Amino acid sequence: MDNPLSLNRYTYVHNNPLRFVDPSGHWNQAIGANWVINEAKNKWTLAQTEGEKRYWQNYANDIRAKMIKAGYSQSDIMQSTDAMIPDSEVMKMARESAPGLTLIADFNKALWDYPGEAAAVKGAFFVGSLFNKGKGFSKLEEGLNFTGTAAKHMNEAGRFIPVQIQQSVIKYGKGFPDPRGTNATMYYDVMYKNGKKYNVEVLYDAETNTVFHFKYTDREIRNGNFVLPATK
Amino acid sequence: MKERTPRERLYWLINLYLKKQIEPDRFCNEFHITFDHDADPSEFSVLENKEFSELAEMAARFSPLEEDLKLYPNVYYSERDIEDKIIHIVQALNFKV
Repeated sequence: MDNPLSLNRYTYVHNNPLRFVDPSGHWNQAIGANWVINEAKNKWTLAQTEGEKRYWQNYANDIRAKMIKAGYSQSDIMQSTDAMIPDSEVMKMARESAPGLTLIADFNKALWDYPGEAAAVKGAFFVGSLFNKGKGFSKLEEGLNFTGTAAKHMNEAGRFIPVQIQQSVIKYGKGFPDPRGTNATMYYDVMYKNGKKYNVEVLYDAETNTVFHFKYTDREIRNGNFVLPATK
Repeated sequence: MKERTPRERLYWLINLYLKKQIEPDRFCNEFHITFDHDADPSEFSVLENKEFSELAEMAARFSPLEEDLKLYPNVYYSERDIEDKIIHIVQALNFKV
């Protein structure tokens, strides 16, 4: 991670009103870091690609490792086997315990308000149409630009891949040089569409934040020594 | 009429292309989607899998837009590239049009 969590932050979150929530599980709800793990579990549930799920899993494991290092016991730490508390419930609890802290934005800010991680969270929350033909978005997190050819495929039912999934593939997938030798990077991941698993590739030019090409397939994908096995 | 299997559909699409009864852009979309989303690899011979896989990969990166072909060299395959590959496949698989 670019900006490793500081344990001081956990101390800071100890002052969060959520510490007064009555613990219902065996993990310690008075420890702020557990709420960050819970949030990562929520993100994992919403993740649309395996790469993104891996990212949030590693994220939570990283926090657990830091908590162990800081002296917390395993029984205090929220584990992957513990049921998560959905964001909606967290907000309800936050409202009950802190009437002043009523907006999701405020809550997220309180929990994630430090550089690096805040950007990661923002990127995982894209909703609505970010599709843009031509130039327009300068950062991946804001949206994606598409060439005319790629934009055309965004309008074709059998080829369309939501912008959010493409962003996720670029952000959390594995990048390799374009097999055709262009300067763009080919990113790979696995996605789900209508309950079916597919390999997905996105050819992306970081300099212009532009998608040149994308496709999904249930066939094997190869790029040099890298192999994504068939998903059938 | 009996519905074509994905394999039959791929051959049918190539026939349509050679007879100029389908636009290259539409051919590429249909070929890519049929091969990459619908077809079962066990339906094909080893040679068919190899040749069709290469054509499907090219079809997925085909552009009918002259502007994009000029602006982004090597990013896309042109109509000429697709046609050359189809002619190669017809010979390699030795099938009659």
